[in-house]
Amino acid sequence: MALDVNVILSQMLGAAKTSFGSKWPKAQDLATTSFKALAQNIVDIEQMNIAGTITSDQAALLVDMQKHTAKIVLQAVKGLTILAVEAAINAALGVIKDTVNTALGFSLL
Amino acid sequence: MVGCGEVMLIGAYDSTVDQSIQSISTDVSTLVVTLKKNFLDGKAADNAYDKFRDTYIKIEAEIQTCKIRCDALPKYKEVTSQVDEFGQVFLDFEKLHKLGFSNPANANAKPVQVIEIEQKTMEVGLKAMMALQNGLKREKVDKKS
Repeated sequence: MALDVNVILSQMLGAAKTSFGSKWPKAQDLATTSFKALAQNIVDIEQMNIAGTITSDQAALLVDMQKHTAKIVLQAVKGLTILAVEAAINAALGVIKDTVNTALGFSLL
Repeated sequence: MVGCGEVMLIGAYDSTVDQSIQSISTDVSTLVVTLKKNFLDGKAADNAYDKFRDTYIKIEAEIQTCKIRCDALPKYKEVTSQVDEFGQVFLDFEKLHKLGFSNPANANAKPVQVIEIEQKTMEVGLKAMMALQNGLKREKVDKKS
C-alpha cells in the first residue's frame, strides 16, 4: 500500500494538536496562579519595608525567596511543556504507526 | 528515537523523589506552623533559632539527599534544578530566622505577617514541584494505556 504524505501529515498534526492542547493548560494555570501569589508577596514586602516593620536586610532575603521560587515555577512550566510536547510527538507517531508499519512490512514505529 | 519505542524527552516518574518532596513539604510546614503558632500564642521566646537548629539540619539534609537522588536520574535536569532552588529558598528562610522575622526597632512590626509571606512563598514552590511530579506520574499512566 502506498503512503500518502498529506493523509499522514493531517493525521499527525491532528493527533499532536489534540494531545498538546489537552496538556498545555495545566502549565499555563500553574504559571498564572503561582506568579499572582509571588507578585502579591513582592507588593507586601515593599509595603512592610516602607513602613519599617522589616529591615532592608530582611526585605532583601524575602525578595530573594521570591526569585528562587519563580525559578522553581518556571522549571515546572518547562517540565510540563516538555511532557506536553513529548505526548504530542508520541500521539502523532502513534496515530500513523499501524499504517506505516503495514506499508513497510516491518515495525519501524 | 529507536524504532518501536516512544519518544521520552524528560525522565520517568521516580517515587523516591516524589516521596522525598512530600516529606520535605511536611517538615517545612510543621516548622512554619510551629513558629507562627508560637508568635500567635505569645510565646515568641520559644522561637529562638537555637531551639530549631536541629530541625534546620534535618530538613537541609533531606533536601540534599533528594538532590543527590535527582542527580543520579537521567533527564532529571528540571527536577534537580527545582530541588536546588528550593534549597536556596530554605536557606533564605533560615537566615531570616537568625536575623529575626521582623524589625525589632519598630513597635508595629508583626513577625507573623512575615512568616505568612514566607509560608505562601514556600507553598508556591512546593506546589510547583508537586505539579511536575504529578505530570511525570501521568506520563507513566499514559504510557501504560
